[in-house]
Amino acid sequence: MVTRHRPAAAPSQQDLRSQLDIAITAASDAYRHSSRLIRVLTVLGKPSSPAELVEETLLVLSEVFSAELVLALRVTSDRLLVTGSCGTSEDDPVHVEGLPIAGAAAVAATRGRVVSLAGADLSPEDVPPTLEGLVTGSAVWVPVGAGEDRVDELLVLYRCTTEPFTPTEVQIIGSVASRLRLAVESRERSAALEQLARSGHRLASVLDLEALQREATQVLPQVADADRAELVLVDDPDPGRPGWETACGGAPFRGTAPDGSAVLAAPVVRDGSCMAVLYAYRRDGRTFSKDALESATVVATSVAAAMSNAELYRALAASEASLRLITDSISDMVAVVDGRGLFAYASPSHERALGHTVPDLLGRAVLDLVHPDDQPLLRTAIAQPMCHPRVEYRVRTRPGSAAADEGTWRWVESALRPAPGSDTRLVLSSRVVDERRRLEEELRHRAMHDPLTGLANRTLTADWLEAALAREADSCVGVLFCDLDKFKEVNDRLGHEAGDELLVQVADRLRGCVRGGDLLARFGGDEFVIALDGVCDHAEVEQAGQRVVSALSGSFLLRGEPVEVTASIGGVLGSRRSAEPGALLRDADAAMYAAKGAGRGGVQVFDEAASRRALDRLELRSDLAHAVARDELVVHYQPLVDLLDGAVLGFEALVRWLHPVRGLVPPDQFIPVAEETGLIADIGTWVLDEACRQLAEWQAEHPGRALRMSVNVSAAQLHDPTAAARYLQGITAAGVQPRDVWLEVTEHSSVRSEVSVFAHEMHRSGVRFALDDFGTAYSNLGDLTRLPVEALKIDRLFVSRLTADRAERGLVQAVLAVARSLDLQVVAEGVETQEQREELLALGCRQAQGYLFSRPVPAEAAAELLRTGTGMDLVTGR
Amino acid sequence: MNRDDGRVRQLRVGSALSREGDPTTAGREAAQEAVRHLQGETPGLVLVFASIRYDLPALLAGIREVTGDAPLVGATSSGQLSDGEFLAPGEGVALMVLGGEPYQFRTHVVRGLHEDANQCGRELARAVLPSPGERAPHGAVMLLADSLAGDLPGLLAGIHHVAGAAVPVVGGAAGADRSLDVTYVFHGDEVLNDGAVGVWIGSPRPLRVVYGHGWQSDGLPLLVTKVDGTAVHEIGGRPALDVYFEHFRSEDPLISHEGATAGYHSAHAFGLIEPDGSQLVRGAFIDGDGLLRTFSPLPPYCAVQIMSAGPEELLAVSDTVVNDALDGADDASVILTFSCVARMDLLADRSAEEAELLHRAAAPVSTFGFYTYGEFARTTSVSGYHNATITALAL
Repeated sequence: MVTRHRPAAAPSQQDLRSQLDIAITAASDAYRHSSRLIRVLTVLGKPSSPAELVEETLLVLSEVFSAELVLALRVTSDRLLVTGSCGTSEDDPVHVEGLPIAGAAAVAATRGRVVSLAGADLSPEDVPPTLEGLVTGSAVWVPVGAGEDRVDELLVLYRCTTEPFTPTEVQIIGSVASRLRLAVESRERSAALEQLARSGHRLASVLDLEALQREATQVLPQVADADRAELVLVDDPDPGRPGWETACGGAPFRGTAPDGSAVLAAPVVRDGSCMAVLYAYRRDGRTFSKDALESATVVATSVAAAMSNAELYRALAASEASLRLITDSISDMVAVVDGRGLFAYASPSHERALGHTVPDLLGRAVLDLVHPDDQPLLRTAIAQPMCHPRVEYRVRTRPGSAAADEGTWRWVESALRPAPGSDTRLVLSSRVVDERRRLEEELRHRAMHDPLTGLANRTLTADWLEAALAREADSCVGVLFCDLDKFKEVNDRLGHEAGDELLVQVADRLRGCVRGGDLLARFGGDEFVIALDGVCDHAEVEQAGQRVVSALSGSFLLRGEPVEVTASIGGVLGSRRSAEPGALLRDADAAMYAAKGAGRGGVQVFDEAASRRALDRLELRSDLAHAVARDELVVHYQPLVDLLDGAVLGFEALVRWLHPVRGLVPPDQFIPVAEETGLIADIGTWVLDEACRQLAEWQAEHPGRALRMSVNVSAAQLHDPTAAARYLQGITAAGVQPRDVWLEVTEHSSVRSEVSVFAHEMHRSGVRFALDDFGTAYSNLGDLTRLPVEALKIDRLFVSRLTADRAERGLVQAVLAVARSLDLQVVAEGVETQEQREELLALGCRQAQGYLFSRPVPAEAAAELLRTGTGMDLVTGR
Repeated sequence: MNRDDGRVRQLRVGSALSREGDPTTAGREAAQEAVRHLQGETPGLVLVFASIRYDLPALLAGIREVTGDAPLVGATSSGQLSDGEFLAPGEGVALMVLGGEPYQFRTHVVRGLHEDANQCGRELARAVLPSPGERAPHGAVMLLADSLAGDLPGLLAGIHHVAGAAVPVVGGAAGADRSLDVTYVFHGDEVLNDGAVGVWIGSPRPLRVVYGHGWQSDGLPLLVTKVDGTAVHEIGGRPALDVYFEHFRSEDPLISHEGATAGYHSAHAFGLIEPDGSQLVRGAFIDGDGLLRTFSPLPPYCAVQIMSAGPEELLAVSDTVVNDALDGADDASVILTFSCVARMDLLADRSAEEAELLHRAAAPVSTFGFYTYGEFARTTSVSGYHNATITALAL
């Protein structure tokens, strides 16, 4: 039941005690929710491998939601595969067999919506065999999409309590699920690239064909995230393999094998012809990405180089006598260096690679040709070849030679070993590794950068912050976390490619607003981060945030269509030597949440007070989740009166929140929170039910009197496809006529097509519509005809200026004229003075609300108004 | 004590205490007395909880003269209880022998807790869990660990990773007669620190691990805003120590016991607020540098309440814990209990009452256990590390 005004009496000690208990419960709920979110954000921000990340996140979810079982599932065509779990045993068959796509999981996977079940609603097919013998009371399935409305992962939590997961909990889990996915993807990409940079070129030095096959089939699954790989030589063709023809033609191939596995084939090409094909397979059928294909191609290139070398070395082993011939012809440079470090022998390949002729080299000091920076390294290696059998350094090319076209210095890798039969001489076999160094450099760059925008990624940002925070300086380090508002809508409306294009354009604009020493990064999705080196205070971080806001302020042209984009920006300031990169990023992330909550397109910089405010808002979010259940919401009623005689024609129902600790929370504070969290659906339904129930009561007390009830409906409610049915059910259940119920919608919420679907459905059933705050948004008269609106409410702003401003008077007159021509009723809002009332009457407006008659009052006082009138009938203005 | 009604096969148990000074004699005598109750049945498991004052290898040798190669596990403790009798820290050794039927016992020991507790937990679980074909339909893991070797919640998480939600864990972290220098666990004839021993208890009926603490929360929930390992720096953005002291009841002085950590204030603790609103107790103390510390790290940004307890409240849970443990275990012969030394300290001159109350509530079922530096009761979710709590399992 709703808490209503109580007669004033000194509260008993027991009352006080129970109020205190309620306050403590509310506070501990709020703290728990905040704590949950922060703990999960902390795990997601910690550096770890993809597998560790999934494991730790599921563990924290189990802990903070007291879940018996947490499962990360991949949706395939016929099964759900377990990709992570907390609560299964290691030998649980579910790891191998997966789960059927049935029950709630099927709904979540196919319709892409969250399913939360508890108690008797959980059917046996919803509970995996893992939980046999344990009590399962509630569960939630959260879908995670791969884009384009395709769900390919589910995050599922089971717990023993029969209390269903609350909307706030579901929201936290949903947000964790999508962030986890982004984090895993980005770490997988970095890990693959690192692996490639580490092991790709090593392949090139494997000279035994069998060892090479073995090595390549070990490296490829790691870099392409495959279960299995094989290297098939063209001499040994197997026509059954998918993509064989394509790969033999020199083109890479991605596809599916007859058994459903995903297949990747990369040709190993030498001198323009395919020598072998490198295959990778995924049992679960996940298609290989472009990244995987690129990685495989790089491995194939290394394999090709190794196969060339292997052939030559095999020939070398076959005939000692043809040693000179072979060393002369192989691409590697072979040299013998004497005890003084002078060339005693040099193969002709030195000329091809470096431009130096053999006679030039003989008798010359090796170190003469080496880059000054690298000389100490080579000197040490020559002195102790056993300790430094392999060394990389830069060698000067001969000016004017063809080799010099490649640059003054070339990177060379040399293997050093003592010459047979000599204590002082060394054999240096060297080759130019420019290409490999460039590739490594590029891979290193890619491991640290976002492939789409070329901006730094999370790894580089963490490194950068670590270094910046470690530097000694008087200034501080700032971090801005920017999240594009409504990016998903752009993606949904214009497609993913347009979404990507938008991200690239945003990156370009952001580049224009960072200072020289700052770092600009993208963390995946629509999250951008700016790290600021050398800022002094919060104001400076805030200014940088404002620069981002203004950089994004002009519209973006996508597919010829101008698109407006704003970002919610969170900022923090960290002191050198004490702040930690992970904590800074996490706090900036949380500040961003706060910015989003405070209204999109804003900047929120956390100082201590702001941090508390953010926490406060998080608390408000979780408190609100319980407000209905704890009877903290009440409906107040403002009468709608006949301007002429002050008679009460009906009421507008206005929801109020009596928070046990904060007191009355204004609707402009909690309604946006309710909309953001989705709680608005529950609250809206409750308000409508309550208002209808009250209307029925008053109609019964005043038979024969036409009384109506207006209820506000927010945009979020209108977009809920189930809303119409629910509302109509509430109206019918209360026993009032739908025609006595008015739903008030605001102008800006009424333009979308699905809104008019909702409105028409309600209208068909008799419910009536009024357009609220008319005149405050852009007034599109077309909407008036498109929607089944039967009344306009003139905003209080116009009414307040009515007596002072002729233009406003003209506007109200125009509205009244439009209303008349469309046969609409007009209600003036915010009537506060007798003059305004008279002016409105003179203009022909008959209905109004305002403090002149009554402010919104509790139901008891409203009932009194119904009985005694507003008192205005005694003071007619005319 | 021995119970065997001859109809349903019940676990045979026998227990004994010894205050004997010589370790070998103490071990041998206690073992001889305990084994007598088995009526000739070969021991399936030997449990030993001993004061750290003993020459421990000699103590185990004395026991094994009697029990031979029977699997033996145990830990140093900070007091023991057996069938209502209480041994104060430093007094002696408590020993229980358990027959085999109807349970399946498998033991294993792991080393290197300090380096990677989670990995240790995994190794332990993999070693003690029988393969699915040989595994009894139900079971639990009893865990004893060196309490000073670091991340005990991580050890539990490792076991949970391998064994899953269906296998509850019970047990305690080794004590050392209130000192915090070193604690040991026993396995066979081995005495080791930086390690843990686990026992798989396979059972024909579900095994239920229970716990209770009797602590009450004082005042509003608080958010821990800065922690560094076991040091708690800030609560609600203010110096942690100020906030902690504000919640103290003025009549509770700092309790000091011989050998106990200086600055340990056993009448108050943190209550880590659980998803269901209940609290996990986390003991706290003030270290030599004046820092507020907990025995195991609090998660950053966790929600807590300051808890306190008095002797009456602590003793009141004895009944509840016994009744919970025996719920659905009508055929039980013994309740194994793991109670915290912090409880004993708070009970002060009423320390012995907990053992009596447990015994009275459980009779004719035996009670046996030790006073720990941390208790294990993993039942729901992944967490299950407790402080100042009593955990139990009926067999």
